Amino acid sequence: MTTGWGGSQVLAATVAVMSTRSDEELGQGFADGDESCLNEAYRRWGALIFTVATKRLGDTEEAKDVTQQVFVGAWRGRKSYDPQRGSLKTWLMGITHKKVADALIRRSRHQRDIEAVTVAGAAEVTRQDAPTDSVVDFVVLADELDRLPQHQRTVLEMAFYEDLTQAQIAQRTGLPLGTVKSNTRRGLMRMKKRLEVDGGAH
Amino acid sequence: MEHTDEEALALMAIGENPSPPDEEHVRTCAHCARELDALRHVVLTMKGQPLQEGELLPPPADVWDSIASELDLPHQHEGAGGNVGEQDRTGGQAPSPTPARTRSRRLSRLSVTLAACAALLGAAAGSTITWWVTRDGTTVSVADGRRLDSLQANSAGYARLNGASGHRTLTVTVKGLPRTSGYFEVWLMDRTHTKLVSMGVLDSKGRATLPVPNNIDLREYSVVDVSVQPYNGKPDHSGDSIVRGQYAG
Repeated sequence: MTTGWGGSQVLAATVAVMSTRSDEELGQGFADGDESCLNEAYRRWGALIFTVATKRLGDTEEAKDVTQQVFVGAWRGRKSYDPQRGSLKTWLMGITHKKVADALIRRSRHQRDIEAVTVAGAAEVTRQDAPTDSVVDFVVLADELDRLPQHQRTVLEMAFYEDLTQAQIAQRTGLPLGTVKSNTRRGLMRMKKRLEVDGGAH
Repeated sequence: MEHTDEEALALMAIGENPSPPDEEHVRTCAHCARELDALRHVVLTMKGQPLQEGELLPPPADVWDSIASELDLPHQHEGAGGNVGEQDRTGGQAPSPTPARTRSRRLSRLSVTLAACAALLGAAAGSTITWWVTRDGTTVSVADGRRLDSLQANSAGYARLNGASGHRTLTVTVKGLPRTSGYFEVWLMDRTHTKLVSMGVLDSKGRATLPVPNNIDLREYSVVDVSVQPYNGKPDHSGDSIVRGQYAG
C-alpha cells in the first residue's frame, strides 16, 4: 500500500543529487578538512547564520562580518570540532553566538570611545545604540555558556540552537537521559547565577 | 508542600512538559515561580526570537567570496551563492534537516493535501487507490484510508485496516501534527471512548503501520484515536486527542 509520501520521495531524490551528503557525513568531511564540505556547510547554513546575526545585531554589514568570521573561524578551528559530540550545525551556531556577542562588546566599547570625545555625539549614539538589558544579558550569558564544562555546554547548545528535547539530545549524544537532564540543570543554574551577578536587568 | 526541585524547574524552563504536581506548585508558589521565570529568561535570551517561515535572509554573494579569499580557497562560487536562501528554513527550531529532507517535508504537505482530495475522490469513485499526477509531473499514489474527525485545527488523519485475520495491520497517517516535546500515540477505542487499547506511536512523518493482535474484537474496538502524549513516563491517554474516528477496511 502506498500513500502521498511516495511522490515526494521521488522528488527528494532529484533534489538530493545536488547534495547527497547527510549532515553527519558533512560534519565528518568538514572535520577531515574536505574543502567542499565548507562550501556545502555554507550553502546549508549560511542563510541561517546570516539571519540570526542580522536579527541579533540589527545591522547588515556587521552581520556579513560575523558570517564571514564564523566560517573562517570554523574552518581554521575545525580540529576542535568533534562530530561525535554534536552536529556541525550546532557547533556553527555556537560560534555564531560567540561572534555576535564579541561584535556587541566591540560596539559598546566603540560607543564609549565616542562618548568620551563628543558630548553632542554621545546623545545621538546613546539614543540609537545604547545596549538594552536583553543585549547585555545575551553577552553575559554567551560568555558563561562558553565557560561551562563541555558536556553542559553541548546539551544546552542543542536545546538553545536546535530546539531539541532532552530525549532527542540523549539520542543524538548517546548520553543517558538522566545525564542529559542533570547537565541541563547544572548548566542552566550556572548561567542564571552569572546573570544575577553580572546581568543588565537589575 | 515542598518546593519544586531545581531539575524540574530547569527542565520546565527549557520547554519540557512538567508533571501535574510541579505545574500546580509553580502556579501557587511565588518563590518557585520567580525561579522558573529567571531560568526561562536565560533560555529565551539564548534562543532568541524563533525564525518565521520565509524570514531567512540569503547572505549577499560577496560574503562567500570574502570567506574563500581569506582562506585562500580556489573559488567555488558555483552553488555557493545563488541558492543559499533555499536551505534550512526552520532556524533553531527543529532537528537539522538536510536540504533534501527540508524540501521533501514541504512537498509532503502538498502531497498530503493532494492525498486528502484524492482520498475523497477515490471514495466517491469506489476505488481503493487513486493515482494522482502532481504539477511537477511526478506520479503519487494515494491510498484512501478513511478520513478521521479532526479534533485539532489543521490536523487531518486517515486510518485503514489491512490484511486478513491473523495478519491484520492498522495504518494511520496524520498530517498537520502540532509541535510537541512529547510523542503521538495511536489507540483503539470502543464507541463510548471508555475502553482503550494502546497500539503504538506515529513516526516522525506522522505515519504508523501497527499490528493488530488477533484477540482484539474490532466490532467492539471500532474507533481509532491519535493523542499527543507528554514525555512523562505515564502510560495513560493524555486526554488530548488530535484525530478520532472509524477506520476503513
